[in-house]
Amino acid sequence: MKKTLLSCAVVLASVSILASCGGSSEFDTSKNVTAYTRDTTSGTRDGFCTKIGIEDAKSDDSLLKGGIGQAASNGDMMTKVAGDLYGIGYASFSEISTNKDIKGIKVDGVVATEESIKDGDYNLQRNFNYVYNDKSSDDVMNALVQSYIAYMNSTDGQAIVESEGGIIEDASKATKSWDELCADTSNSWAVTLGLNGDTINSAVSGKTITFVGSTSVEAMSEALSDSWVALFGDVKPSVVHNHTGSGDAIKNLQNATGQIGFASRDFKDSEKETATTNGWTYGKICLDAISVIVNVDNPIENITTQQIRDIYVNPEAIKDKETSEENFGADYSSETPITTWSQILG
Amino acid sequence: MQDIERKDTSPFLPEDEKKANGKRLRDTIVRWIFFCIALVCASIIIFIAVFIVYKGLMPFIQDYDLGGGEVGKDSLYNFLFGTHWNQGGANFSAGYLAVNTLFVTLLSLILSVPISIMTALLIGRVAPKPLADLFETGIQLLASIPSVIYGLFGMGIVNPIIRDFASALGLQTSGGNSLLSGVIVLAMMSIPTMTMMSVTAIKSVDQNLIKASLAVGASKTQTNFKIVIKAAQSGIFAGIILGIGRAVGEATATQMVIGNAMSGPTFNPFDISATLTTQMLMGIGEAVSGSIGYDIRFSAGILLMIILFAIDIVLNKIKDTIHDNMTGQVHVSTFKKIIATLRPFAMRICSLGGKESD
Repeated sequence: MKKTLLSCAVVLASVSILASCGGSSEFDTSKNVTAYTRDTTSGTRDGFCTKIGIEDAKSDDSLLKGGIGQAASNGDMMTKVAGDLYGIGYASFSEISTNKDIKGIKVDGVVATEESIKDGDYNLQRNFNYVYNDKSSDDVMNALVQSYIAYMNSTDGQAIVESEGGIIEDASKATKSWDELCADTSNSWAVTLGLNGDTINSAVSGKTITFVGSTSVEAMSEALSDSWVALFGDVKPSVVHNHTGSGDAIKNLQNATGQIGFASRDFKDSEKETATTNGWTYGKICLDAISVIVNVDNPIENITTQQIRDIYVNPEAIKDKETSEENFGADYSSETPITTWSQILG
Repeated sequence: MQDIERKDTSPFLPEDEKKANGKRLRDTIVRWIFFCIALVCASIIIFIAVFIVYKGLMPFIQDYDLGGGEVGKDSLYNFLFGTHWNQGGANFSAGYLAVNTLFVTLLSLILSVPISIMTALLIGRVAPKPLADLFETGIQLLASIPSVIYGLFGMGIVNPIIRDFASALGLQTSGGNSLLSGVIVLAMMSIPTMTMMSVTAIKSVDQNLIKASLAVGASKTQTNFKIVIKAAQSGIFAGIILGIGRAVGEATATQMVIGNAMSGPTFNPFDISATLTTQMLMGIGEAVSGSIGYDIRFSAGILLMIILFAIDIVLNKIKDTIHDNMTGQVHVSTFKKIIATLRPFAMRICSLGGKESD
């Protein structure tokens, strides 16, 4: 009987401990910063790591601190930070407004807005770029490629880009709608494909356009190609999306396994050179930004790129990786890795 | 039924004979259909194993395009003994994940086995019939809940409790995402299977054993623990084996609560961790097929299958030993039976070989 009473008392005591600590959401700056990242397949992680100056960490877990947890998606990242008062993470700018339990904070004193992203003031941003090959021996294929790009740059296409979370740098650049572009006989592709007349060139239905390059741009390019194909009615081209990473955009055009390539970063000088030599055209689709997010009850307003690095990077691993010194050795000068919030909030 | 012997001069009329032949033919056809279906079902495991092993060995054999003109493959040593999932290039590791998987499973068993056996005792022996039926239905329903629901429950209820519990102890967790949360969710998921198997075993214990125990003056509790559980051991063990299978193989629910660490192994219950299955699932949506990041998940799959296979063999061995001790018989394993059957043939072949060399 005594034992029963005793065990009852123990259970009651533990329940009351749980109940008493449940309600408090007072921010305690002495607590550790619990950081979250995406896994190495993520385009967002690629952009984040590149922009905070540790490009190698986009595909190397050992460069990041051990206690960092992985989130499976943008949504999972926000859920994890929403459930963790001391958490910090990153997610696509276009999506963070959907969760009210988290907030995006300023980076280097700049708040992420469409304006600051367009101006280039906000650091954690990247360009979505395209490159296309319209110099093949097949005129209809060339015309199809040109018409896709024209559609993307039309007012209709730009609306789709925006709905997919892209930030249009200069909205005044797109002036004409798809119908106006088709009616314009100075566009040779519209004439070749028969888009300016009543009947579409029957050769169109046998053609396959393959989209390659960045996985981050995949959703956007698919949304664009879906509505672009629909414009052809019954006589439509086939569309294949084979996105394998920004680096493959130029590569796949080179070995003729793709006609239109995308990159979620600016093309490197060597890539631009390859494009120019082959007569390919490249350009910018839109901007995309990555927001640094914390729990809504976290008092932090601003964080510096240096501080983000100090939160995420494992300094020992960086020191070990002497061969990559040129990549981030100069940038990464901090000797004090951040573990607690008081190191940021003072 | 009369015993009818078929002779050359059939006692049946020709029409009857025809009918009988037709039926026999139908039986044969049906038997072959069943045989084919059974063959397909049984060989699926072979297809899966061959496919996983083929894909999973590729990262150690084939050179992968790593971008920037570099090619490379993973080394088996790094795969088994590295401490980070992805160390850049082609260097992936999953050995520490196997350790994590075993550790998480062990902890979840410590939670779930006693609870399951107690619940089964209550349903099978202690509780009055209506109450026992009610509990049994409840447990059965629990067994049919999909894992993602357990995951949601873990995120919404278990994580906050673990978070507050840890902070009451002066510790900090990643918002409750921790090894302990994973253990609790896995224990919850394996309890129904274990309980149902244990209930069946406990209910089928010989009543004479129980009566004898009560007759010599043992209390009901003594009888339940010393006689019933002992007599039902074998069935309870089968339940535990199935429960382990569920705990080792669960991915979705675990991934939602365990925190998905990038490195390991982890032994602190309040730290984030990762298991083979959670890491395989992580990023599979974005992993490019044909890249090493995709194929390496099959390698992790091989490791997972080896673990499951090993656990199965070891536990079945233990189960047989328990069974032998209980019944006093010496259990002959299937393997030994096969050997015993093949032995005469082997002997003959050997002796033939011997004669020829003479």
